[in-house]
Amino acid sequence: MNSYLYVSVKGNINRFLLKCNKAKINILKIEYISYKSIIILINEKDYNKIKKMILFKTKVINKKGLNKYKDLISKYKILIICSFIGLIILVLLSNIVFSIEIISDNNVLKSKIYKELEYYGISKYNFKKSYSEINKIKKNIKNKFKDNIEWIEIKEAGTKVIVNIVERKVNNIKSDNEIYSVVASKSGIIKNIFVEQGVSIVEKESYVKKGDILITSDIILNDEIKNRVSAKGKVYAETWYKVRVEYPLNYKEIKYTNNTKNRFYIKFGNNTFYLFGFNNSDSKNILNYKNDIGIFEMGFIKLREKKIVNKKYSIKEAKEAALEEAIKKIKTKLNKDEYIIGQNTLKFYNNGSKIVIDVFFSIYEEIGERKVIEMGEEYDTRHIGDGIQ
Amino acid sequence: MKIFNNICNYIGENNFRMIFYLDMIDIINYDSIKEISSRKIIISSEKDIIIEGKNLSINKLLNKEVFIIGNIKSISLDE
Repeated sequence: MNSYLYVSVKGNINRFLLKCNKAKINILKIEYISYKSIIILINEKDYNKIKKMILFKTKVINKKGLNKYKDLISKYKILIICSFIGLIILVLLSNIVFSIEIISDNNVLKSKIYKELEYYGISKYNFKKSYSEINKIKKNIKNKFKDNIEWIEIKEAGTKVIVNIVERKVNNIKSDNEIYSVVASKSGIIKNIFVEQGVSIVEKESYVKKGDILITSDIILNDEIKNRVSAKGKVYAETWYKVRVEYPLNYKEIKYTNNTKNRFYIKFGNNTFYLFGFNNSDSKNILNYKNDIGIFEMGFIKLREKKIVNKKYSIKEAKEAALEEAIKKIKTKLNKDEYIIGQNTLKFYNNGSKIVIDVFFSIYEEIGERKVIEMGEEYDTRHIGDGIQ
Repeated sequence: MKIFNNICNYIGENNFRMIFYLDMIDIINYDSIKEISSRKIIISSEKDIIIEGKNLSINKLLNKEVFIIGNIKSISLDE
């Protein structure tokens, strides 16, 4: 690539041009400023010849070609070097894995896959793998865990590697040839019996203890066991519970004011740093603009001021709230077809900062539980049945 | 041989040529410039070429080519 110079020449121009012609200097372009001043475009190598012509004032005013680029590079060398280093760092960082997320419900399988990925070089602070390498790794992992994994996908999202696993569901349901009886899971007074298979050996409004057989698997005719079937059915009974609830008389209420502030924040990993905002951390995030660059995050956050108000219940209010809490507690244990028959407060006392309440509940609930009865227990089963009749 | 010479001439452009445009003259393969002024430019080749006019100036000056612009009135040859 040739280098050219724009040179300003002052003096007798016609004489200058004749001298240039004699000295075999190529002038590629001549621009007349006045009759005594011109700007010429010449090859860089010819400039020394022109400089020797002492009768004329010459000055390089600009450069063209390779020289111009050399000048620009030397002028902006610090910027260019910094940009280059920055680019290298950016490329390096964007090619490093900063976190790995394995999406699966099976924690055992997760840890196995994690180890396997580590073995293949996919781990934190390691370089990312190419598409073909990832495909190879996927294939190897799938082959190794062919009994556990149905499908595996490894994808990169920025500096994060996301591994999606679909677990292979092995059909473990074995044919159930066991003979069951329905027994009482807790004591109570029988309210309803629904028999699907087997024979009910208890009556409504009778009291049963935990472990008593409710529906037997033995089909008895004339004091003889004619057949054995797996007993199935639902037995509902009235059961009893005592629930103790402690309820505080003082409580704190959080109220949000209308004061809001926008704050700038920077987040490195799990640490968040805020610039300016409400004192005493009386703030709440309600809006969040994020710029995700791997582990680094920054942006503006809108904060809402909150105030904590201390309040006190009256004894009556606290008692009502405690009772509600007790009902809520008991209802969490009940199914759709189960309900509270009645309730009664057994004990209540005030303990200064809190109240303690004992509530008695009678519940309508299913108590039938299927249990395998061994062959040797046939006699016992029949005996119990006989006893009730 | 004649064809070879023609090709060499075509590529190398060794022959003297003068191309005249309106207010512009391009002279190729000249020997030297004898005189330059705003009214008269004398270019030397086998014969001297005298270009006369007003506001004559050289726009490009190479070893083998000179490009003259201006209000050209006459071009004459002087042996």
